Amino acid sequence: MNPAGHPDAADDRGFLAPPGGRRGLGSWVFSTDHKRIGLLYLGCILALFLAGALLGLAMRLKLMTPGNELLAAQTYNAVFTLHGVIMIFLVLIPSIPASFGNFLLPLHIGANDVAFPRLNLLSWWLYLAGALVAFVSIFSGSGAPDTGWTFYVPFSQRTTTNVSVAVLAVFILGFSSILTGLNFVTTIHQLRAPGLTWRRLSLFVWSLYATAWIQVLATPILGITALLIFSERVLNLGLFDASRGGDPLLYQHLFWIYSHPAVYIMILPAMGVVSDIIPVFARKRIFGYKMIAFSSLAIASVGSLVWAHHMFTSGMSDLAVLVFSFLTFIVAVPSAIKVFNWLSTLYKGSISLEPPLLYTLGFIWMFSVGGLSGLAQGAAGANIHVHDTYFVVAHFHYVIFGGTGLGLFAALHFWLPKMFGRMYNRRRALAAFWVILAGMNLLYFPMFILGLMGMPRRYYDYLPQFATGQFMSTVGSWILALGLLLMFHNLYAGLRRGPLAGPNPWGAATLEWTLPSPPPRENFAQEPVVHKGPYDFPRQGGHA
Amino acid sequence: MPEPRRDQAGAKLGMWLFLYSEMVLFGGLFLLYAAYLHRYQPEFHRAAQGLDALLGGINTVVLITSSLFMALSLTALQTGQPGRCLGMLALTVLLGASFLVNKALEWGEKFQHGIYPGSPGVLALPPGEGTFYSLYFALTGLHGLHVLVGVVLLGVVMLMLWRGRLRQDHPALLENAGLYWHLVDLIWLFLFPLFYLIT
Amino acid sequence: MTPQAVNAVASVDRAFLFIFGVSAAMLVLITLATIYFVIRYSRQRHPVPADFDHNLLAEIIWTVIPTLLVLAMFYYGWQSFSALRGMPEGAMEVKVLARQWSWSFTYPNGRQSPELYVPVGQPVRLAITSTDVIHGFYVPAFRVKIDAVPGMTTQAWLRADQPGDYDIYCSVYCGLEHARMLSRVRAVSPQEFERWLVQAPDQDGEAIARREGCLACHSTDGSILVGPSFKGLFGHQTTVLDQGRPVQVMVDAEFVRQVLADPSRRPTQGFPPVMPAYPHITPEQTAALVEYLKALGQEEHQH
Ligand code: HEA
Ligand code: HEA
Ligand code: HEC
Ligand code: CUA
Ligand SMILES: [Cu+2]
Repeated sequence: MNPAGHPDAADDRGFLAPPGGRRGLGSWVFSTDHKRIGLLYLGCILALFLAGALLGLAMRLKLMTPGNELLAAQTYNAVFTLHGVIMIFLVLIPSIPASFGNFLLPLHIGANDVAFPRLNLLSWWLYLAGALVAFVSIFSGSGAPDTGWTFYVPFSQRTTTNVSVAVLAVFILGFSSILTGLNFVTTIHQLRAPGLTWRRLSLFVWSLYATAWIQVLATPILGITALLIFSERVLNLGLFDASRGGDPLLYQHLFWIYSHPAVYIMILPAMGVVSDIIPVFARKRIFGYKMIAFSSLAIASVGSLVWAHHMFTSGMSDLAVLVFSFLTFIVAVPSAIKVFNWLSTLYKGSISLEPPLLYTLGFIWMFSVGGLSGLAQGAAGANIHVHDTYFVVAHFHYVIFGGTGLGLFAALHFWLPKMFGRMYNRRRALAAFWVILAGMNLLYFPMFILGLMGMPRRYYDYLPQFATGQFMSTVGSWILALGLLLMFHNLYAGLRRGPLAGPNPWGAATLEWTLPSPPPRENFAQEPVVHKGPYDFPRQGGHA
Repeated sequence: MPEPRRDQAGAKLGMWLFLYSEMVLFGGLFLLYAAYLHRYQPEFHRAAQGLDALLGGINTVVLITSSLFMALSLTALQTGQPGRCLGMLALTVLLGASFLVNKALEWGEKFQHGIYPGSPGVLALPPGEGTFYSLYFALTGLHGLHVLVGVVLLGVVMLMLWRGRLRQDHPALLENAGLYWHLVDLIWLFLFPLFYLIT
Repeated sequence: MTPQAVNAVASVDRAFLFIFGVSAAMLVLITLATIYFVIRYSRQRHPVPADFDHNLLAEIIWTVIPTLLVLAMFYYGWQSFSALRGMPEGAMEVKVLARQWSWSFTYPNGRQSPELYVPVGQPVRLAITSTDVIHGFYVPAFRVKIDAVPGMTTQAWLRADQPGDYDIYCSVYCGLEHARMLSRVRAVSPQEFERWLVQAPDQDGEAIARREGCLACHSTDGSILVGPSFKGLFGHQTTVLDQGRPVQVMVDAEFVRQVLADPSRRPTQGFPPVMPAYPHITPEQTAALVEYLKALGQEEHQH
């Protein structure tokens, strides 16, 4: 325990200490320090995550029983749209890269900041602006957008709700994401410390690198798509209007050319976190370093060629279905390789089941369930049956909440002690995990069955045969909420009042652990020189 | 605060990535163009006759010339002639502005004939021809916006040069502004044949 | 096998079963391996980790085997997709029209119906389109799903092997009442089907309103759905926008005819202009609709 019991009593608050007498909000929102920016993102992302999750909770209440009138039809439609938009554009896409990526990238490569610190701050400001504009779209105009996060034309063109402002928010957020991406690519190329060769990069940095490329190369398509919807609505361009010779399917192609790669923006950084955590707690070098690094790049590049697997029922040609189904299966292989590499790292290791590792194993399991269900969707004939049903809803909650979400939670448990210098309660962290895991599975597993039974998604009401599954799912959402409350409370209490964590509580070998916790403002007093790989642990001992 | 690193190579890499993403931005619209051209070849050819290839041609020459001055201004800075550099930049800006004026005239003429996005005139056109004009306004509009941004950016660069904040030993800002300008020019070189010459 | 003999449902289910089988096996393997490693190699039991970080043979094995497995999945998936898409020759063609928020099925003899009647044992081809936004025609029992896209006709086919009713859903989100855009496939014996097909459909106003989907948007009890309620509508003043200017008009037979022909010309003030046009409605049907509205209009006008 911290002797004085007062948060300020820690000896060294590092970068958290008010810089040069400047205190308060200004020292944060105008700071170009990558660590402060990372924390700003983290705070916003967690707050928005809670907001989005509460909307999810509301949907579950409405769907608990058929025919109930808790939310009107229009309200329900707006709620799932906002839930999707918030979770995808404001939470998942920035999630790990913008928060932990910003905080850790310079530390992992032995640099003092990212390549363009001011641009980095601008990215955060744009992110905030995007969030505000999204917020405005809810409360202005004639009602919150009700199109679903996919904004399909012609509906998004015709609806009288406030879609124009919402797509503007998406455009701004896309811009923020591009700038972060180009900042990271440049940082990784230019600012590695002496001796830090490409083969000595941590796998987390490798995954950020692959992600950053997708951000730079795919996000502009989202930008133009958002601009086009905006012009369709405001200028009446008619580019997708069938009665004027337009083709609504072209919109879907443009949308998914970005949005499929975007799912890898969401998952790759979490995979990087997992690849960095497992070796630490198995005390063993990662198995198949090259394969993991390479498969990140493979996923990033081949993943940009499979977008139309979201469109098998859209009426595009059967030949296109053939090609895209095939490519979808090909991109699944690198993910399989990663799973097997992670397991082999555990094999014959010396494993201590600390909270970060437990959450990581949760990631692997949930991601496997979600990924394997993705295979059922990738198979052309099977997709026809489950497309736009709850099967898909189950699939993506498993991969994004079970995957990226648990990856983020693992990262929180692993790096918060580094960020704030204090340790949370271990037993409570472990207990919260099991509640979360149980809640998630009760919440989402019934959705697979509902989907196979034919329950379409985006329905504010349903037929009686779906009642049992929907009810179970709602109960699951309460258990999950309880687990999340436990976890967040424990983390928060830990960083306020927990015992000091020391520089390297887990005995990890990457560069950030050579610094005090929290790290000093300048990161490295002298430029570090690197002589070993990221997973070369002392052969024996170490603490924890 | 430590002195921000003056990493010229890094700045250039970042700029190239940005230009890449700009190309992808336009790429989305080019994909649409390709898809619709495939579907409506005769209509596109017919509609393109409504555009004035002479005006478009003049604008092409204007932009290419401006790119030349842009390049000259960089050489001037590198050879230590800030005054000459400033002059070249001024010429670039002037040509960029005249491109915009020319474009505005061209659009204005179309507007007068009742051809603007969503206008009854466009709605009355056969499907493919209306699509052609929608694409024309979307692409040249987005491009015009980029020219405008470029002109403003060059204005800022001139100001920095004037104040002596841009020097021979770290020309990254000028180089990057130049790269951006060349990109905008390059995109026009695609737009010109796609809209004016496919008749 | 002729296309008619292909059982698409069985083929799709086979693909599912294969993928589930492989996935379940993989998942069990992963779960057991994780649990075993965590216990067997816990720090107490195994304080000194082994020192290795690659093994070419293992990596080749777990690249090649999953690749083969996914290729098999791809094959089954494609096979079942072909079964769903291989349009049988000589099948009866039914035109399917989707609109916010109802379905309309038109038979070769012109018979129209809001439900899809099919003869048991015979394949039926569907030619699907939409008048407004994208919808999705989905019958889970037959594993059939295809989008209804404005300006485009998509194809599907199905064959009911057992008499009975099967749910039809709209699978693509299409606005407010997406969840209520339901209908049924009614599979009946061929004799019964023939009898049904030549029956003149009810031509009273209420049947037409139901068939044409008016009641998805207009209530008959005064509540507001999407458009104004039919209750108390006929014979009263309403405010429409004529080229943007509000104008008072009387809802009479002529006005109803105009609205059905082109609702966008003078949309009612205070409502979204989303009503589809009904150019195919005959003058007799319009007259029947007017009678129907009249009957509803005489009831107490609520304010
Ligand atoms: C983090 C995000 C994420 C990730 C990583 C994935 C990963 C995958 N997704 Fe998913 N997907 C989404 C997010 C994601 N998806 C979202 C949000 C949607 C819905 C969008 C919407 O419509 O709203 C969607 C929808 C979606 C569809 C469209 C469904 C439809 O609407 O009809 C398809 C179809 O092919 C698909 C396939 C896949 C596949 C094959 C993978 C693969 O990459 C998975 C690979 C992983 C594994 C295979 C598991 C691990 C490996 C093993 C356990 C070893 C054994 C493996 C083998 C034998 C191969 N996804
Ligand atoms: C990060 C991504 C993410 C996450 C985490 C979630 C989380 C949840 N989602 Fe999901 N969801 C999406 C992304 C996500 N979702 C997307 C992209 C869609 C598609 C939208 C579309 O169709 O367009 C979707 C759609 C979707 C649907 C389908 C709607 C439909 O098709 O009709 C449903 C239905 O149940 C649902 C439910 C839930 C639930 C119950 C949670 C739960 O996990 C929530 C659990 C959390 C809680 C229960 C709150 C816990 C916190 C507290 C209690 C703290 C208290 C508060 C404070 C202290 C401030 N979501
Ligand atoms: C997709 C929803 C929808 C469907 C289906 C629909 N309507 Fe409408 N209707 C509306 C809306 C919205 C309005 C008001 C705005 C407008 O006029 O476009 C309206 C207006 C009307 C009006 C004018 C009412 C007034 O007060 O001015 C009449 C009459 C009418 N509808 C009759 C019908 C009939 C008859 C049918 C079926 C054959 C039908 N509608 C089908 C949505 C619909
Ligand atoms: Cu029609 Cu959904
Ligand atoms: Cu995808």
